[in-house]
Amino acid sequence: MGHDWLSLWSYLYGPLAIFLVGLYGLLTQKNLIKMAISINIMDFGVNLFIISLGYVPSGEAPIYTEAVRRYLPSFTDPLPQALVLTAIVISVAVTAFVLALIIKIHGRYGTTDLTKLGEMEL
Amino acid sequence: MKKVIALLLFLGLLFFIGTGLEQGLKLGEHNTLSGKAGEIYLKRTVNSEDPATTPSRVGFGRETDIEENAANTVTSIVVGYRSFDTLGEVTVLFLAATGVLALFFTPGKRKRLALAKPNFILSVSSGFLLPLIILFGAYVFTHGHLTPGGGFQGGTIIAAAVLLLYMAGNAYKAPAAGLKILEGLSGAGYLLIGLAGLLLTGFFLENFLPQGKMGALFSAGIIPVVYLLIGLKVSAELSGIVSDYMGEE
Amino acid sequence: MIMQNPVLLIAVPLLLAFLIPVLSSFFKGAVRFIPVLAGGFNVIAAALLIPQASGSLTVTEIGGWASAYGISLLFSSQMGYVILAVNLTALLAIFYYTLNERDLGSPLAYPIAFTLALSGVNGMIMTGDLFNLFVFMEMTAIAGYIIASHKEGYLGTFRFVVLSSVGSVLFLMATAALYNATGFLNMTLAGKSLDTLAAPFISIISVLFIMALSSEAELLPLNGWVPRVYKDSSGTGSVFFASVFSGAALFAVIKVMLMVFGSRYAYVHQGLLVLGLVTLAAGEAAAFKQTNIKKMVAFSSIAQSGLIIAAVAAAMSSGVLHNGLFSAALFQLINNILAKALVLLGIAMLGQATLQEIGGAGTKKKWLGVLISVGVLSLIGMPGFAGFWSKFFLIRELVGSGMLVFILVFLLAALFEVYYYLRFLQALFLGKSTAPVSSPKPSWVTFILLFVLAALIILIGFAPDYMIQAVSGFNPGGVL
Repeated sequence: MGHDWLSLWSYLYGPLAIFLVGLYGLLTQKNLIKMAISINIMDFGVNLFIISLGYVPSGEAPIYTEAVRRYLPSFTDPLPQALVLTAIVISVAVTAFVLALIIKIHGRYGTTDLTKLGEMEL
Repeated sequence: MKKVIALLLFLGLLFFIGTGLEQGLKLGEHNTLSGKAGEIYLKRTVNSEDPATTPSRVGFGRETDIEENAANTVTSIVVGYRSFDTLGEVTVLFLAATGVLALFFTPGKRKRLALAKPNFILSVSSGFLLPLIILFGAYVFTHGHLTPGGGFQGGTIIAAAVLLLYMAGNAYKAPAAGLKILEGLSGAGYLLIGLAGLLLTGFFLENFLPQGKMGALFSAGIIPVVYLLIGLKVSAELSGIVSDYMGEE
Repeated sequence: MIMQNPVLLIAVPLLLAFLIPVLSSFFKGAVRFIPVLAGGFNVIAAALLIPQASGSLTVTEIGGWASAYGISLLFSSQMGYVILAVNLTALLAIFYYTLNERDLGSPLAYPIAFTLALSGVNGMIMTGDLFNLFVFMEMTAIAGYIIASHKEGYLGTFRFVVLSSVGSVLFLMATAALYNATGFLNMTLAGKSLDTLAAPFISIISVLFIMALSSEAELLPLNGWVPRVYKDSSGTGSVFFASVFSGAALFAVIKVMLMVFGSRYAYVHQGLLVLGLVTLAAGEAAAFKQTNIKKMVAFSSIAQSGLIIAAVAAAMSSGVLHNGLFSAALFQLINNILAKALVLLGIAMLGQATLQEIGGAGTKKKWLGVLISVGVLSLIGMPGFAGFWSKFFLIRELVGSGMLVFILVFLLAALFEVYYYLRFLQALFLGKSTAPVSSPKPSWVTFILLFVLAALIILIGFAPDYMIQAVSGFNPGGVL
């Protein structure tokens, strides 16, 4: 595939780099809240990647309106947009749960630092 | 040391996954709709004999006999063609609200988390902003099949209004029990619509109401009804999560 | 007839779960019966669906949309048995919760989690669409998070959340990439269009999918959460993880491998074979050194997952689906689901945690000891129990295929298993207790649950031909 440098970076490597920044955060951070934020960053990266896969050159939003009454081949792909809608809701749900979990951990053990927690429990 | 390994892993994975995916993906200039499911959804020819070559009979503002008559294609995918996924998504949100409830459960009453005293601007402006926000949220989810938006977006906006109420006055408490009932009833309503489709036509979640004219408010069969239910459910759910975090019983 | 639609296995528990908050405001006591109702309905529906299902896959289209572009559910008689085993163990675990563990935590939230877990696992097993699998995987995962925090096991739950989230975003990335390259989200059609794509792309996609599914199926590399969560969770929770979630997730991995990648990509299956064998070896070695019983069972569970995946991968690695090996793997899956549930429920009723503490408990509570032994002996592969036959069939097929390395690792692993499980039984019956026997006094109804599982295991042990016939002939081809 002969992709040029700019489109490769903005559609593939950029979102992939954001995802990997989140993964890097998960591996190196010790604070539980920062780990939760890293999970969020991973979700952002993947959602961006999915949307970028739906772009069609000079694309039109896939909504039929007064201006666009019939089917055109230059609509952007609506399916990745629907996928991302679902994925965002799921990531919100997981974030809500994990933050509540962190509050309970802090309440029980008095710290949100992973190394201190590791020393406390077996 | 761990950071160095993680950094190397970062660069290695970036190169490795990127070059592997690059060979198969069609990005940007190379991407077309032809041959993809997205094209079939746009043309509304999923149930035709040969979806790829059947011409599209979509026409805005006309009453045509086509499968899904919602003007917003993304909505007709989310609530029409792939409605089962949306049912799962609604359930996931329900589970998250349940999980927060389970974690914050204490037998007996809890006192509400006291925030800093709100300043004058916040407490006055929240009074007249509140109905505007709720109106806007309701607009978003009732018009989900015509313009960008829908149940999830509208519900979130209304839940933000509840959060505003919490922040604008330390005495406010959302009616948690009522929210739970609303949440359960709207979710059950979505499922009952699906089961009604099963009984009437033999397919679960079939769009069995009349399709109407594309672009009108009352069109696209069950889609506005479902989005209404989803909007109510999501707003009840997120408000419930906010109230759990704020320390209600 | 309406009753014969597989969608009901998913829709009815969903409906009941949504009604729980509504009902709890009016009839407080009714809430605890709803999960039992949902589980019971599912078991009866699954049992009714099996006789009228054919041996090849039938497609149920959701919403009446053509299955090429809509979502469809797949069902066959072989899958029916896996579904029956999963739902039955879930029902028994729910019974155990209703009888014994209702006081731990919110009486509203946990019934909801158990009921929705039922929908989630049935959806994972039956769906034929990749994104739908993602949604049901998330539903099952979040239900799992709630169940894992049942007895305040917060740290284990946190680790589970982290690993599971990594897995799910990888799955999403792979699904989107596959859609962009092939244009379909339906598993079979996406698989058919893979032929036109370059090999590096297919390798990356397969690696992403396997890593994504490994977290819930208890395979390496994302299975670090398993020992801690098993140890800290309640009895009901451990049965859900060992039998219900891991059984459904393993079947989902098998389905993706079979329908998306098919038998055409030998290198994918060979990689999976190596992964399975490494998981098997690592799991057994770790279980060997454990003194905490629940952690020992956790590592054993990891090892068994590795074995099943390795067997399925071996069945597909030669280019054509090897039916004998595949059926033996499915048989082993069903046996594991039943036996692990029995062992974990029994351990929960014992109440003690380490090998020293349970010393002699088996002599004081004879029936409990006997029932746990049935489960353990089936896991080891003692003749007369179901586990013997599934291992026997596996070895026979492997010898027939000439896979020497696999057979070696398998036999070594079996040796380890025999050792540490017999050590457990020895402590149970012959040991001297170092801690006072202060376990909960369960009612006789709870014993019935264990009896049902033990009876099934012994029944299959004496009549294995019915079972092996029931799960053979799984044919994924010819389905749109």
